[in-house]
Amino acid sequence: MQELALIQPGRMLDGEAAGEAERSRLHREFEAHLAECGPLAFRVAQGVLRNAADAEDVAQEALLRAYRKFDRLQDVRRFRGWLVRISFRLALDRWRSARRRERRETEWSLPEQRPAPPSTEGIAAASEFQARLERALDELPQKFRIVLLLAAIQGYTLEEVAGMLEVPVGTVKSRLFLARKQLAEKLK
Amino acid sequence: MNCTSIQKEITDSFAAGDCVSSSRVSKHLESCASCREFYGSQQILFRSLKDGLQAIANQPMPATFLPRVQSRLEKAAGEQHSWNPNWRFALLAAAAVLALSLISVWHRLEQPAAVHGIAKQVPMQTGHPSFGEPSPAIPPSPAPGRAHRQRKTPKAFVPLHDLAPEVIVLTEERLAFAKFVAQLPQERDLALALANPAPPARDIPVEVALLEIKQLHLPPLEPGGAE
Repeated sequence: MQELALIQPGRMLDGEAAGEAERSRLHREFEAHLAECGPLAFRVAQGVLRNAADAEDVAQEALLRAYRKFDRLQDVRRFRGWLVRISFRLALDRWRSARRRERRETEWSLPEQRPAPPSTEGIAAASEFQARLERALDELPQKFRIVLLLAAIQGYTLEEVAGMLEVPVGTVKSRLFLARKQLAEKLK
Repeated sequence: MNCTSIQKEITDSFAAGDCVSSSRVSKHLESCASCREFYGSQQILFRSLKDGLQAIANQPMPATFLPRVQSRLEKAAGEQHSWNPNWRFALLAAAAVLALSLISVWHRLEQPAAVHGIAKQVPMQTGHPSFGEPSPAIPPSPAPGRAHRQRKTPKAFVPLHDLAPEVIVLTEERLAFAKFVAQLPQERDLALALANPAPPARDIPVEVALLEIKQLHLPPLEPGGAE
């Protein structure tokens, strides 16, 4: 009976070493992006969820997913936009499920258990406006929300926003224009 | 000048991020108090929108955020590294199992096993072939007009691979197929149809008759009808 040699230790070690070196290189490259893009992922999630704890969870999850698929990213220059899209999608999913849970709790809770509506005297005008702005923002279409958030993040030009979303600058300007008009209409 | 169009232009300018109005708007604002009031309210509204959006988008990031992310990444990197050798051995084991399965299936196909055994259990008429056994060949149907005579043909072993057409039978259908084959001697025409190749397709000419249109009678329109 012919003896089959399935394992060749020498060759396996070489292959393992090459794989290990590649993994280390990718890890270092990802960490280099983390300093800039980590806060971006957090801010995108925060912009949707407006809750620091949830935003941190979502941003961590987005960064982890990006890390696991980092070796498949062909152009590293697209990393920022790719991460923004992952964060935004995860944040929207979390936001929608929170809304559904809130609706269920409101629907099924007894009247005395529901939170009392805030009185007009108790709320400062700025806070009221902010609350109305957040509600109006939640009602906008996704593509308007993301472009408003990214354009509002300090340090990003319209050209950089267009690069992240992989659309022309004219499209970004057009979406900003329509989004602001819709917000103004809801808040007038 | 229409205040509605001026006010729309004011809103559009602010929405586009332009703070400077056109000369047409500026000139109108000099003489129209209601549009000046509208301009002021839109200015406040869009400034509040901008400030509000910046407050939402630039919340301070917790100081623990990046360290927690890094520790999760380190953990994920460790999991990926420890997973690889196990994956290698699992792949080799799966390949070995697959190879053994293929060899087993090939070996089974080479033997005339289950169908042959099952077919023997079914009662057969004498003098007629059974699947895979030494059997006479199926005699051709006699030409029309001639008296049918049953010929005795010498017995000849018909190996499986010489029978045409080849039939691949699923394991769960072998019994039914064996019964069907056992009934074939009673259904001579069906057996011959299965054994003989299909006749070539012939083009049957289609006869097309000319369409005759009889003379049409068109009655005249009644006078004074609406057009």
